[in-house]
Amino acid sequence: MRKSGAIVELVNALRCLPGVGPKSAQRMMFHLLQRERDGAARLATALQNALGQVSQCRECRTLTESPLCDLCASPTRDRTLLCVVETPADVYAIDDAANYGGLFFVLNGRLSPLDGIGPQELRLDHLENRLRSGEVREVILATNATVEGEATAHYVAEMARHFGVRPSRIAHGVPFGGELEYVDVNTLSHAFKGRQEL
Amino acid sequence: MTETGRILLEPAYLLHRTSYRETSLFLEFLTREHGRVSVLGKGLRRKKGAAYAVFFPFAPLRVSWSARGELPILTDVEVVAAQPLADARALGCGLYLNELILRLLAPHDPHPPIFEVYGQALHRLAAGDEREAVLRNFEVLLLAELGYELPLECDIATGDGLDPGRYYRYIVEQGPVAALPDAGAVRGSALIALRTGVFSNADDLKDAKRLMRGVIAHHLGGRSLKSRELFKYSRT
Repeated sequence: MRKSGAIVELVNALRCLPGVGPKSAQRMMFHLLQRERDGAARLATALQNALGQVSQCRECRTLTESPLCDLCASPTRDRTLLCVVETPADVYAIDDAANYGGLFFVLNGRLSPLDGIGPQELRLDHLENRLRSGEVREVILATNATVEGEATAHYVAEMARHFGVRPSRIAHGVPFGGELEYVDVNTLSHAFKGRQEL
Repeated sequence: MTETGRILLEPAYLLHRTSYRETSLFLEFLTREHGRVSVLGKGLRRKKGAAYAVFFPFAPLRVSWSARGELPILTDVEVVAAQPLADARALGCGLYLNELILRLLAPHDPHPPIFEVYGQALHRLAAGDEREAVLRNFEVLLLAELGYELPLECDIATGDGLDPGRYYRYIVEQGPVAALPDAGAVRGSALIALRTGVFSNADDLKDAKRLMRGVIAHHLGGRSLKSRELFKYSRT
């Protein structure tokens, strides 16, 4: 059977989603075109709208519909606290979990010299300007606990000190509800070194 | 050349990991007997906690893989000890070592001495030894093992031994020549320190750093190392 152009195009387009191979893309296509035509239309418009309206906040570079995101525009947030994260998903995670009233800065990546990503590629001059402006007093480094995340945190911390801003790093160690016996050696040794007085 | 068969519990360090497809990791190891090896860790990103945290560079590991197809597949990994680099500055130096190896050492070219020297360098970084000295020693030993040994014995024009008090111009792949103390010159004491591995003052370290930067750039065909950019704001 010869498959028509639009169908092939849709199947190929669906494959850009994570975890979607040719077989599942085909299944999605049949579902959308046979049983869920309303849903498909909604999906198409929603996607079109989102693409047209959502871009990066000019202050913190998270995803937003307006030039300035809600957090950056809010008058109630503490503008002297700046939390640096790797992705917009981290902003959501921290805003949900922690009782944090400050602002965010999204790196949209991490320093990874071995992949050719240095301070320039990450456009850290933007953060530099922010720290230079003198509004921020403490920068909280909430990058991932990978080598690249640590290297990024260290780089930004040194940058912050250079501009007289106090850097701090989120703690990492034994997970909540975790049992020591099952914690890996790297985490455990880090947790031990970072112990706190009670 | 690609090897085939099963390799069991080979001593290794992870140099770099990248995501591969949605659930897998592409792992670059430095192993003792097989040199630099790229291994695919299937489904590793789905694992949580201990199974995933293993894949942090610098920790001494024992790695098993099976090499039948194009890309060897990871079959097992054991952690020998926790990764030793506690502070971020040392981590940055570790990244620099890894970048050097990835750029200079070709895959499947076994050099057990490089494996040993790398392990020692990590230990010295962890122990808080003078970082610049550790890096310079590693650079010199790595290049020597790869066949690019630095001629540091004598003045190549006169054949005389190096005078710690004099200045020299270093010609890459040839050696030092006595020169006036201008911007491009290095102290004889810095050259001797590079040869012996013992640095006694900050000036020698500074000269050695400048010299090695040029030598490494030469061997990399003029490309620079990205991990150096991590130290822009560092106070040394």
